[in-house]
Amino acid sequence: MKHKKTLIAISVLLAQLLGNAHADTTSAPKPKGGCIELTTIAEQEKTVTAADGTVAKQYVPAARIVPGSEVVWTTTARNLCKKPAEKLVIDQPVPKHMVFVADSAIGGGTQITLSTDGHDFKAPKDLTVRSADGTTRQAGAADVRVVRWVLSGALAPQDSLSVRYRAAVQ
Amino acid sequence: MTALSRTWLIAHGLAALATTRQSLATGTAAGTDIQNSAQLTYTLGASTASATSNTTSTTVLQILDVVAAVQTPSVAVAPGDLKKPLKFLITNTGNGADTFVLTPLSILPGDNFDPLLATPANIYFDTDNSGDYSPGDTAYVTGADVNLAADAAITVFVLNDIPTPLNSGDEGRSQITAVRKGGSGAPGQTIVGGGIGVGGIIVDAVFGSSGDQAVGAGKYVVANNITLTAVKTQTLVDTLGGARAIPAATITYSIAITPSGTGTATAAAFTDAIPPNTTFKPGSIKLNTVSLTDATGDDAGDYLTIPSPQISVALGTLTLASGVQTVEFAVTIN
Repeated sequence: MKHKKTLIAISVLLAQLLGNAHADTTSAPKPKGGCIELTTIAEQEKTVTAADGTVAKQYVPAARIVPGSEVVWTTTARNLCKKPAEKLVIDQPVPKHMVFVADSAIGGGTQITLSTDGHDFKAPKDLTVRSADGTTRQAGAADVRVVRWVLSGALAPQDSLSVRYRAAVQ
Repeated sequence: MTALSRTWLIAHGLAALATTRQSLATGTAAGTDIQNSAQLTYTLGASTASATSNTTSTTVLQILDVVAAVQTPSVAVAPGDLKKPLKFLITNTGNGADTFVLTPLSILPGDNFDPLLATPANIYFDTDNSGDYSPGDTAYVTGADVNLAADAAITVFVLNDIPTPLNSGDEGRSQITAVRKGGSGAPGQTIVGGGIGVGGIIVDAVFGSSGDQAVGAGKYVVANNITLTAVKTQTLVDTLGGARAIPAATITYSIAITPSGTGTATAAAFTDAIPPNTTFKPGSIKLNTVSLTDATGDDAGDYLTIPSPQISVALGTLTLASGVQTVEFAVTIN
């Protein structure tokens, strides 16, 4: 009887391992319980002048910034599974102390909408804010609290999608 | 790699967003940790899933900035005035607490005179918040620390004595410099570990537009409020040795012209009509006991008949220091 119980336990373990292997056949790290790895980096754009006078832009980590400067957040979604992922929606807030830079959100193949409250997302031209006196006005960049990217198509296996926006430190 | 990850495409439609950006005061406190992460939802077959990205962390550095703004750009003074204040507002426009040392200076180019920094103290804090230099204000001890929190400001007065003599309109400049204590540098320069952020954490400090110091300058202007006052007296002598107003008697008028106030009266002149029923006594005009001719164009005194008989004495430039000017002339009773 004891020998039989050990065999059953080994079988369960194998089944679990095989099951995992079936869901994820890549060697890349996979987020726990999902197929898409989502990473965000904060960078600053620096203008660098070379010895020959040519000017180039570089992105350097924005670990430390001064008020008034801009931070560029780049978020990348990578499909680590075999199946295509669909209906991708990436939301990224504009952090406290930061002001969204108008027209700065980009993302190939995505529809970009903005929100002033994190619930209602609209195209920039339709974005409004209700003032304290009850009137409604066109939202400004400073009113934007969340940026949303909606991917029009599917994210194929092993493919990645990168989106980006800028905000300035108050 | 698909087009999705190969290229960055600027999404259309975002240009519609109003481009007004909130004005960025040096608001966010030094040491503030700005964190951000993204959320993702998607479908995989029939199931819906979500993911959360890593969290980025960005620390706000300390901006070192100070402004010394003159609140009384031009102060009217009189020669000899003592302890005349120029008012300044020293503001820490950085985003963290900072310490400054104040220094006055009154020997400056581009003016007519050098104000004299008052003694024994020449910088005072507006301790009683009256907005004016007043007895309740306390003196700044030379070289002492002035600690200002982010965006905090303090009103100070620079006191000067006004030298003599001066002319109206003369200007004397004086200034105050707020120098950051604990490291100097030009705009944009970084002091590693030179800042203290929220919670007392050490952060790098970056000099803002002011660099390590700010200068505010004001000026004293000698006011021109001089006034001339004329007091006329007369002495009557008749031909019989008495003092009766009879024909041929002589009336000698004496006019004392007294300057008062500060400044300069230029091209001052005194004119007086010959009274009716009298005749001007030739050669009687005097200025400060010095006889003047009746003719025009040769000296300061004139006797004129057009449009009516009168005497005129040019007094020239007068200041308080000129003292009383005495004009005399005489007439005889017809």
